[in-house]
Amino acid sequence: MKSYDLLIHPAEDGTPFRRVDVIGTLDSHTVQGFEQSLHSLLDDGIPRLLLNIEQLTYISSAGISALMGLTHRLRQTNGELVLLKPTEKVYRVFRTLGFTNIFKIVDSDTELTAAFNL
Amino acid sequence: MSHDRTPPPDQQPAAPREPLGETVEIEVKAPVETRVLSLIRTLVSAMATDLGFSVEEVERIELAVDEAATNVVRHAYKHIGVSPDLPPHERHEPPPGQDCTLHIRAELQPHCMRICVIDKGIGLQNMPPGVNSIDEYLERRGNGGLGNFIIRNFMDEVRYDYPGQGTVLTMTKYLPTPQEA
Repeated sequence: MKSYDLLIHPAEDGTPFRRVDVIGTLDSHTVQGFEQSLHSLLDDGIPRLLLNIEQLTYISSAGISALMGLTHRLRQTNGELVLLKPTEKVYRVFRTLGFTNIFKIVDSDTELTAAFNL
Repeated sequence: MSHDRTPPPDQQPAAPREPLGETVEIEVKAPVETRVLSLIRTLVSAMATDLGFSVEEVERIELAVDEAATNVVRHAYKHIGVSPDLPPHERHEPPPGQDCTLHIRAELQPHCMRICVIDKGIGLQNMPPGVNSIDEYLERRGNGGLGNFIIRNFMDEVRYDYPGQGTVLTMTKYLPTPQEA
């Protein structure tokens, strides 16, 4: 498996958020490409971003800082970042460091409406 | 959401193997490039698992070592133009004779794992300080300092030495005693 990949789903009519699958690892090696791709996407004026991280196998402080950057940017325009289905390992990092109270994290698509305040 | 499920069998810790009985040292030298980080994580995780640490403790050791190695890659040789943080036009090849490596030394002892992350650079004492809490990290709006916070909080002992050239960061994690396990 490649160490990192990003699958940006096309915008769909009637869906009030863009969906991106993050695959592999988010560390100091991969984070620059991740940030460039996601901030480019936000440059198009997208207010709500769903990151499906069920295939994200590892995250370091570099990856967490990138998620914080996206969160800050979206909240400045009343938007939101939602993280979908973190793996046990990634969730444990978030929980141990206290980021489960900072990031919006959901375990299923049925929770998205509430998470995005729609 | 609930994430307190029992890990599936493939994520449960392996049965501890026969105790070492003596210290085993394993050393790795790698180029100061971010692409080596995943390999270092794999090696450190395998050693910690083999020593008998739980899945959660292995993950903490893996992350702490990753953060320490990242600091070396990003900061230790920045003064001579070797760092992924520098713009391309400011990057240089290391000068001849300059030891420009990331050196990991792991000591596997019956009761603990000690990992030294060593460089021969400018010394990491000049690095931006880490945060002391997640609140402080949030006040910085997520701009740096989390890696050193992880190192200090995920390992049992952390010590920085500056032996004239470069930095030796020594991190120790103790295995739980039979009463604690």
